[in-house]
Amino acid sequence: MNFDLKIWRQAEGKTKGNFQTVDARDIPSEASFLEMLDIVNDRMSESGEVPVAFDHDCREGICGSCSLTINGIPQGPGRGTACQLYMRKFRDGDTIYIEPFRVGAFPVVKDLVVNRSAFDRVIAAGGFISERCGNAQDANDTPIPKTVVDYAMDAAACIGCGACAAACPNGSAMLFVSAKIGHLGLLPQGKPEANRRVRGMVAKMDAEGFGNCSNFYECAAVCPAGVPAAFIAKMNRDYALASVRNAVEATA
Amino acid sequence: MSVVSVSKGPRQPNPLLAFLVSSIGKKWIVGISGGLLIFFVLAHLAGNLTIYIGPFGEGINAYAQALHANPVLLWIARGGLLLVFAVHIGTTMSLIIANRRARPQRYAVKARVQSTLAVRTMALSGLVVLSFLIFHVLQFAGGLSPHADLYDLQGRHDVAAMIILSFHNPLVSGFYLVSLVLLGMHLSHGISSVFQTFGLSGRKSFGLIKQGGLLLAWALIIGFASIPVASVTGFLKILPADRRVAPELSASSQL
Repeated sequence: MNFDLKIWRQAEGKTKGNFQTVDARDIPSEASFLEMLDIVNDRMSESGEVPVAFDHDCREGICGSCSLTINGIPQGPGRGTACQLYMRKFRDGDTIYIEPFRVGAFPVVKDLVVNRSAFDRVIAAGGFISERCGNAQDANDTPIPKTVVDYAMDAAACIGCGACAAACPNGSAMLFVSAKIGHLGLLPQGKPEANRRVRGMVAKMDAEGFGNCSNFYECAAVCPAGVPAAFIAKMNRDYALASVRNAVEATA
Repeated sequence: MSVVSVSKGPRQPNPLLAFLVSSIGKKWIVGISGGLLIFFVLAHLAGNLTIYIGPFGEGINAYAQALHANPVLLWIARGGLLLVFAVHIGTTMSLIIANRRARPQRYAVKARVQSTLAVRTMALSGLVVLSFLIFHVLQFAGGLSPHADLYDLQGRHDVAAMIILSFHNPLVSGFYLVSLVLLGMHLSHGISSVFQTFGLSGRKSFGLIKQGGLLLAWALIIGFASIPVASVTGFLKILPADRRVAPELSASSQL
């Protein structure tokens, strides 16, 4: 298959970037999107060009390292990560725009690589959970209803790739943050710190410069893990209740 | 005797202030003010529909008279409404500015996966509705309408005739209907968004609330739009001029 690629090239974060047109010829239809980029990069290296920098790790759709926006859609068309996208999904001769995630809080490092450490700092702001040390406790010691476990797992499925923030026209990270708050806050292990966690993570999210949710729900539509936007509603509620509790405790 | 000083640690910000300036706090402010405005729209529609009472829309004349019976309460309500509008628009603007900053560079290819036209045009539909509201208030409440000095058989201000005659002007009814469509779009996203912001939509009720908001918004718009349609088609009739009381006479009889 042949493709007309428009790849975002940017030598480093501070320099101005632009699109490079690459004629990708004889790409096997069974190649994944990243394998297609590998082939393109090999040819660039052979001809003495600087290959395209892009993030990748497991290439199994579970690590969340991919950060490509393909034809305007973070992680590419269809559910799943960019590494799980295969070239047979495109038509022969298609023009494909490849851009980095565009979020103010994710500065471009080089080409298609962005710095997503803002997410790590939001996670750190959530703090630890209280857990006893020593031997692992019996598996059935803490009963949790199946429905709660399943719901917490829906949120815990988040791989932290950042596609939600990249898809949001407001550059909001609320699906990511609400998934983290949701999955810990739903389980008994994370309940004791729930109020502190939601206040800490929301404050950090704001400080990192992420935008505000205005319910476009593009985030949930591109999320490779299928985290539902209902978690944002839960976060809105949890944050308000935690703030009220904090205000009451401050006056007491 | 030694004094032990205990460090209090870094000063904690005021919890209420911290909430109000946070991203989610601002969403709550927009949600609360938007929710109040939805109630206002509901009450306004209920008032408007009284025009269908009586052969010449006397229902709305009585309603208007009752509304103006206590000027103090009326002005308190108007002031409160203005404040709610100001808070809704002001907070939204601060959110929009923050959102622009959070996404400094746009994509070369604009793609949307699922967002509707309504959500992508919230600011635009809101601003058009606002410009309509200014015109609307000046026209009907401000008495700028050329039909504002008519009185009915009971000597009440003939609000029904003012509305029906105004809608006979195609520019007035056209602007009204266009603004209603934009208000419908604004509400079709706004009503379900209020539930989302207050955390009242769960994973099961999410779709139901979205569809319910859409349905309620357009039901409201059909209610409002029925009045210009009924005026233009002649379903709503005005009191014939030969049975009308002279304005000077009715004004003095009111005293």
